[in-house]
Amino acid sequence: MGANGERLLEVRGLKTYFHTQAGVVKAVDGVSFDLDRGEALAVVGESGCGKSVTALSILNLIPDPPGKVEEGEVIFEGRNLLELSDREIRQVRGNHIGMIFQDPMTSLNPVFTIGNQIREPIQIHLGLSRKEAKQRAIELLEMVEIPQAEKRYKMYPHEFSGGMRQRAMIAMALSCEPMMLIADEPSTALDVTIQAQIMELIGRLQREINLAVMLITHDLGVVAGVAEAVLVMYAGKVVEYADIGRVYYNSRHPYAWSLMRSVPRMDEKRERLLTIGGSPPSLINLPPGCSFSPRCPFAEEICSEQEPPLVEAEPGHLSACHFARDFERHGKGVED
Amino acid sequence: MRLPDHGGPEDLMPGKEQPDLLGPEIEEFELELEKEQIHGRTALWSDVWYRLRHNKLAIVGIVIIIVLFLVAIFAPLLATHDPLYSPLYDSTVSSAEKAGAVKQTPNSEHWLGTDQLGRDIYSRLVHGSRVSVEVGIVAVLISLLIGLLFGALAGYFGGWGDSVIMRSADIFFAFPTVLGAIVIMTVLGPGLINVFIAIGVLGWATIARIFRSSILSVKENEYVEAARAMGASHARIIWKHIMPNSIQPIIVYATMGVGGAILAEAWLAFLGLGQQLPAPSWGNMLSEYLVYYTTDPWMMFIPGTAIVLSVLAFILLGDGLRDALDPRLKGSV
Repeated sequence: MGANGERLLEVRGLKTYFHTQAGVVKAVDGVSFDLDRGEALAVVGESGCGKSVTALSILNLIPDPPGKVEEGEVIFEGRNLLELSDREIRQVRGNHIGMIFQDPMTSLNPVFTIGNQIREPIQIHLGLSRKEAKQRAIELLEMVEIPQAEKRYKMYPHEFSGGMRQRAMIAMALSCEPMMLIADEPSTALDVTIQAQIMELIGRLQREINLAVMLITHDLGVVAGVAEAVLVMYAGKVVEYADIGRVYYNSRHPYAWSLMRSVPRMDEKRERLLTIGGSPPSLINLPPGCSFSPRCPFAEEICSEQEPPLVEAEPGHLSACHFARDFERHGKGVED
Repeated sequence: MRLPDHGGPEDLMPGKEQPDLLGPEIEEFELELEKEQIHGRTALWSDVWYRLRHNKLAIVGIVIIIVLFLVAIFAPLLATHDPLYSPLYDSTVSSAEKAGAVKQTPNSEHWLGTDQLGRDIYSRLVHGSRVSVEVGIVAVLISLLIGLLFGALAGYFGGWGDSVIMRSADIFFAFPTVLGAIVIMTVLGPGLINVFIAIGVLGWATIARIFRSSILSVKENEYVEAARAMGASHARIIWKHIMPNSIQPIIVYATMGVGGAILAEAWLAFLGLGQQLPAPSWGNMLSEYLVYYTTDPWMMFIPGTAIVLSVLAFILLGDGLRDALDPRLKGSV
């Protein structure tokens, strides 16, 4: 949402479907958002809402078949990534857009040393010699705060702890000085203290090297410290898109609103956590009207009849709810 | 009641003199420990060699294989006679001498005796080892080349190419190797080069199948996706990220396959399709000597034993490698 910087990435009407035997799974169904240079955007939502598929679609990494990007544009630095050839998109991957994955335990190849693997993208994209690449890899390990980088360079992944591996993954993703980092649940598989360290590291790198970050997570606490804008997804669609403060304190969508209220807080005494009833809908058979309506505490007749458009509830605050504009009043009325 | 003086939390407050906790020394010590672990534990191949060394049968296999290779390499030096020289066709040898020269039992002049044409069996055996070693290596290399290529294409890319490749492999499976080889040899004609081709081509299907299934599981790993996200090409991903993680069953199978190829060559030579007489190979020696099994049975046991021992050696080594490469397979070794 940041209007201050230079536009780096524009995603417009992205639709990624999976053609399965059971039917067409609309994993991503018309998602649009922007990312500026140096901006951090969080994409939140529950498992299976299309967060990761959105990220993979940007880099054209959807396994085809069964997946396919049906429609939409991914404009990165003026080029539509979805129209690039195999060779051209490989130049973008790793070189201009780095990506890190959820489970650092499995995203490193067990048979090569850490150094060898960090060196790989450097040699692929920057064409440095082995020796120069090694020097750079050691610098990168130092940048992600791995102590004794020179010694660690020669070690194998199984000799690293989870947090260290994720740091190594970040070093690998940043090895070619990309302008953008996609972090797909980078801290989910780590314990809480390490989570905080990894998020702090990503935040620091974002500021220091002016990195645009697309942070995918289902942990709202993780988002708070790093992101500037939040994109809330539900059943493959964007339901709310605004600055982090607005989504956290002045949500205009019942799903995001319920999500915020189901986060445990230290400064509030509550007997039970609020939960969102029901389960996410099947992406093959979406309920008519608003996908969230069967679980929505505020649902009215119109919700199961018409699909709400994504509208500007207030300047710079998009929400896909029939009652987005007077959400506060509407919600309060129901709650009381 | 007063508690004994343990030193309260205020002792740990900043500003208070801290005892030296040996920080750097401990770190130094841990470093040493890690270094030891790296060299003692992490290198896959030294690990494999360690486990192999403690497997007696595998060592027997390795020793036989080394001897076999040395014999094949130094055959001209080790042979005591010309393997093709037959006194029967030598006009300078008298008829009486000719009669005494054939089918001699082992003696100091002819270590393993002489055959029905008076040729030195030991020298023929030594020269024949070359054929077996060549067939074993070349045929398996051909199988590997075709099998790995098609296995990788089928496993990595999937789709209709996978179906076409694996159904073709099924067709090859339908033929018993020797029968298939006979068919190919009949088309190509007898001769050693054609033996390489026949055995090699027939072996690809198993290797392709093993490699494909191994790739199918390895390619789902996140590090493969991570490599794709870093912009690595398909060839690079297959070669660098998938191959090293899926090659172990292939190593085992290929080792045993060398034994299989030696046996198949012996079969073909036995049927007169391999190495052509008078040049010796273990298979054609066996087929020649088998004729005399009622009168001089010891003759056929000489090439027979050589074939059995070499095939067994490769199977023992392959078996040992399987255990050594996968420590989980047999509990602790």
